[in-house]
Amino acid sequence: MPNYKYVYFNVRGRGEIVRLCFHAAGVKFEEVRIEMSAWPGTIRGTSPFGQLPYLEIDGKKFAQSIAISQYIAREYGLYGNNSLENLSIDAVVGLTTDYFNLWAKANFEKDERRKAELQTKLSGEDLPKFLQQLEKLLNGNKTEYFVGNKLTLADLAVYSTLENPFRDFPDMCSKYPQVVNNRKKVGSQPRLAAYLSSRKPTEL
Amino acid sequence: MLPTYKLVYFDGRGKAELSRLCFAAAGVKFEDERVTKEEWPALKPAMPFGQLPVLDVNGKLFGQSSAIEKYLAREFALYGKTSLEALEIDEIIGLGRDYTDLITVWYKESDETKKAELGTKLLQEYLPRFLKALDSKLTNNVRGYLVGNQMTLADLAIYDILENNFRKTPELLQTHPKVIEHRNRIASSQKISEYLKNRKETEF
Repeated sequence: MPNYKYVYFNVRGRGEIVRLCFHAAGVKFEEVRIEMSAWPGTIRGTSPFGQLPYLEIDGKKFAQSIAISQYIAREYGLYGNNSLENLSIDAVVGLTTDYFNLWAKANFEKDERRKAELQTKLSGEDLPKFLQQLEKLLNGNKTEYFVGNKLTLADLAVYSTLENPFRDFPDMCSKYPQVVNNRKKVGSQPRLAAYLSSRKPTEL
Repeated sequence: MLPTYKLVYFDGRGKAELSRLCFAAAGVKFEDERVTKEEWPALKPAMPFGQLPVLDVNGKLFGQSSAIEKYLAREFALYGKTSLEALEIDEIIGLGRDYTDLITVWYKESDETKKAELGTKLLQEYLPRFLKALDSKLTNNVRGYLVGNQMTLADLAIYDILENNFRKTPELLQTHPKVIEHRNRIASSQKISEYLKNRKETEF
């Protein structure tokens, strides 16, 4: 097995999906968490393309959280049983990225008035639409997982992306029973449950 | 036997062109369905996620351009030779997506002052940083491809992403001869040059 070192900020953000993949797959990895205040400092220069996260695989560094999570999924059985299932899994990942980008846009907007507008749109329109799409997918698949009949990268990507919504809009999220059920099922996978219970809560 | 493929999108390059380039590079026939603005509202409810592009594989519909591209690359041997090469390809796709997401934000910005600020940031900060990343990949690869020793999804993606820059801001690319050389290499490859010769000209 290669030697893995994962470097990201001490937040969930875009990088938590990678941690979930490693834990779900039961793959050992070294982890470095950078405080936001320490960035860019001297660390930026050591990261490929000046970004975080990056994954060091036997000393070689790779950037881009989605690329990294797809690599781990490929290596350690978190993809599907055939190429079309994998297309469906990647499509769910794409949906989660689309929603996350909308959240990030609203969350990091500096202009107060625009921020309020974006946040209203997020909770009033974007999030319900996202949840509806996820509910529809689960209703269509009927296995309590998003694709196929086991835990895949799709379930982990949704789990990670819905952490803030479940925390901030619990009533809205509870209106989607399949989504709630899938979340419970994913969260109770033994290795994930152990990680999630020991993980320190972070705002982002 | 190859499936029957249909790609559904609007009448432009946009989020479908990379998929079209994959079909072209592989020499695989597909139905290139283009939907007009007028036709779209009636079609939307039948599309997965209510969005385009959609790939029809033997009558089954799949959404999300990034997932479709990966599937086609996988099917048509455009994904490198190893899992690590695939990771490198995805890394470049991710960097490319970060850049095009910023262009979309700039494009959609209605506030003139903010738009001008974003435009400056794009041209003076993000584009140079993106080009620098491509330069370093190309410098490290003796074959002149972005990853490995033959054309992959990464090369096609960069070709597509920089299309508008080459058309509208060619002077910004003059200081990156390796990127220009790479573009020419992809454009002059047999199947791609044939495709480009016959490609319908569109604004987006």
